[in-house]
Amino acid sequence: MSLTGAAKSVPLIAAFVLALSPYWWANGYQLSVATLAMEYVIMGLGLNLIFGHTGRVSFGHSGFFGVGAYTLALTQTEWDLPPLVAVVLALGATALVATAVGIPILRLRGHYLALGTLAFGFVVLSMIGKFSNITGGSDGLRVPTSNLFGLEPRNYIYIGYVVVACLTLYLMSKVASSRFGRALVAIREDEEAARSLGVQVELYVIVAFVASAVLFAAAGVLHAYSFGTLAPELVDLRLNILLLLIVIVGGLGNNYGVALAAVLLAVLPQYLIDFEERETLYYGFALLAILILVPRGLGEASRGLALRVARIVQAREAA
Amino acid sequence: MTGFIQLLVSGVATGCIFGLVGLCFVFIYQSSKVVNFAQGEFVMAGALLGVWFMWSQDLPFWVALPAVAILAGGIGLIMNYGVLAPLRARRAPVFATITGTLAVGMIVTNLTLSRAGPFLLTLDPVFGREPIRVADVAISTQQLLLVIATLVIVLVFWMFLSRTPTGVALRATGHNPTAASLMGVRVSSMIALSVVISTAVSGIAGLLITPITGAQVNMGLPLAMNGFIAGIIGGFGSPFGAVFGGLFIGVASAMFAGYVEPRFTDVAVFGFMLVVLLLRPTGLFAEFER
Repeated sequence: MSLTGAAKSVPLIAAFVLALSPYWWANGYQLSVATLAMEYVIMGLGLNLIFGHTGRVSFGHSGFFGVGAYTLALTQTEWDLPPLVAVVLALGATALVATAVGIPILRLRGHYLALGTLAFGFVVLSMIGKFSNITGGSDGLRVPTSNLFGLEPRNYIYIGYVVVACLTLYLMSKVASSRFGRALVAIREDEEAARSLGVQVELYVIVAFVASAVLFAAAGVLHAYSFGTLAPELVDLRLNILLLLIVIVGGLGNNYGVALAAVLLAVLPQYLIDFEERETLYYGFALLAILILVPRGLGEASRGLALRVARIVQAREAA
Repeated sequence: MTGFIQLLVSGVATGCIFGLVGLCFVFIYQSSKVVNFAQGEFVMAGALLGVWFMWSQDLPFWVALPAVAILAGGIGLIMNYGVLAPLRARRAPVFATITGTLAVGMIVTNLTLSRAGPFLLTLDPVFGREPIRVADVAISTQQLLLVIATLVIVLVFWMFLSRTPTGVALRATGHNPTAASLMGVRVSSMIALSVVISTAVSGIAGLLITPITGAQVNMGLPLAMNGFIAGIIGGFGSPFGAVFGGLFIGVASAMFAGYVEPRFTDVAVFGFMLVVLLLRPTGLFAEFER
C-alpha cells in the first residue's frame, strides 16, 4: 500500500512540523530529550542502511559518532577553523576511517563481523582515553560554542537537528526505492543470487557502510555543537545496542518505522525512574526479556499479528 | 638485547592470557555457533572470585583454583540454560544471541561491582614475589606459572577433543548438529558442556593473571577484545589457532609498546587484525565457515 503523487510528501512534512513543535511547548529538559530523539533518528536511519537494508550487523558504529564528534571538537579547540570547514573535515575524516576499516572488515560475516566492528568501537573508546591530553579523556572535552541571536546553542542547533533528521529520512526513503537500495536488500536476502544478477556486492556494501558512518558522524558533529561537551561515554557500546534495537523494533529496512522507534526509545526511558548504579543491571535484564520474548523484533511480531488479523477478516468475508 | 628478551617474556605471558581467552571462546563457537560476548566478564569473575577466596577467605591457591573453576562454570551453566537455550529454541537471529550474551556480561559486571567495588585488587604470586633471573632478564614466577598452565590447558584440550568419546562428540556437534544427534549425541548437553568448560577455563585464567595485572571490575572488555582478535587472526575453525593468535598479539603488542608507542597498542592490534583479514580472510590457520 503506497501513496502516490503529492500524498507521498505528507508524512515527511508532518514529521517535519511535528519535530519542530517542541519550540512551542517544550521546556529546556524536554527540548534536550527531543534533541536526543533527533539524534537517534539520524543514527537509527544510518544503521538501518547497513544493518536493516544490507543485513550487515555493526556493533561499532557508535565509534563513528565519536570520530565525527571528537574530530570536530579538535578542529575547534586545537586549530581554530571556521565551522563549515570543521564540519566537512569531521565528516570527511570519518568517511576515510570508515573506508579504511570497512574494506577489510566487511569480508567478515555474522558473528565475526559483529566482533570486528565491536573491536573498532573499543579501539575508538580506547584512543579517546589514551590520548587524554588532547581529548580530555574521561574529564570530557569542551567545544567552544557561541550564542546566535541571543539563543543558546542548544536551542538553535535543534533546528539543525530537525533539518538533518528530516533530510536523512527523505534521502533514505529515496535510497530505499532506488536501484541501489533494492540491490542492498537483495544482498541481504541472498548474496550469491544478487551477485549472479550483476550486483557489485562488495562495492555496494562498502558504500552503505561509509554512508551510514557519515550519518553517525553528522549526529556527532551536531552533538558537539549542541551540547558543548564530549565524553567517552558517548561512544559506549550501549548506544550501539540501543540503535540496533531501534532498527529491529522499527522494522529492518523500514525507514519511517525506524524513525518512529527512535523517537519512542528516546522518550520512553525518561519516564522510568533513575535507578543509578543498578541501571546497568536492569538494562541487562530488560534486554534479555526483550530478546527472549520477541527475538525477531516487534516489527516481525506486529507483522505476524497483522497477517493473522487479515486472514481472519478474509475468512469472515468469504463466509 | 636483554630489553628485547624482556619484552618477549612479558609478551609471551600476556599472549598466553589472550590465547586462553581466544581458545575458550572459539571453543564455544565451534560447538554451538554462539559467540560469547561476555567471555571477558568470566575472566573478571574468576579473578575477583579468586581474590575473595585467597584474600578474604584465606584459602590456599590449590583450593581456590578448583573453586573458581566450579563457580565460573556454574555461572556459565546459568547463562546457558537461562539465555542461550531459550534463544536457540526460538530460532533467534544472530543479533539476539550476541546481545543476549552482552546483556549477561552487563549483569555479571554490575553484580560484581556491587560486591567487590570498583578498585583494583591484587594477589601475591603463588610461588612468591622473587622473580627468576636468567642472565639479566627477570621472569616473575607467576608469568612462568601462566605459561606452563597454558601449555597444560592446551594439551588437555587437545587430548580431550581428539582422544575421548565426549570430545569427539563435541566436535561433531559443532560440525554438524543434525548428523551428530542422529548418531546419538545429545546436542543440547554438548553445548552446555562446552559453555561450562569454556567459562571455567576463563575463570582459571582470571585467577592466574591477577598477581600480574590485578583484578578489577572493568578488566573484562580489553581482555575479551584481544581474545576475540586472537580468535579472528588464528581462524575460528581452530581453538589452537586462537592460542597462537593470542601469543602473536601478545608479543607483537609488547614489541610495539616497547619500541614504538605504548598508547597505540590497541590500534596496532586492531590494525594487525585488519591486515590479516585483507591477506587471509579465513584467518591464519583454519577455514571460516560462512
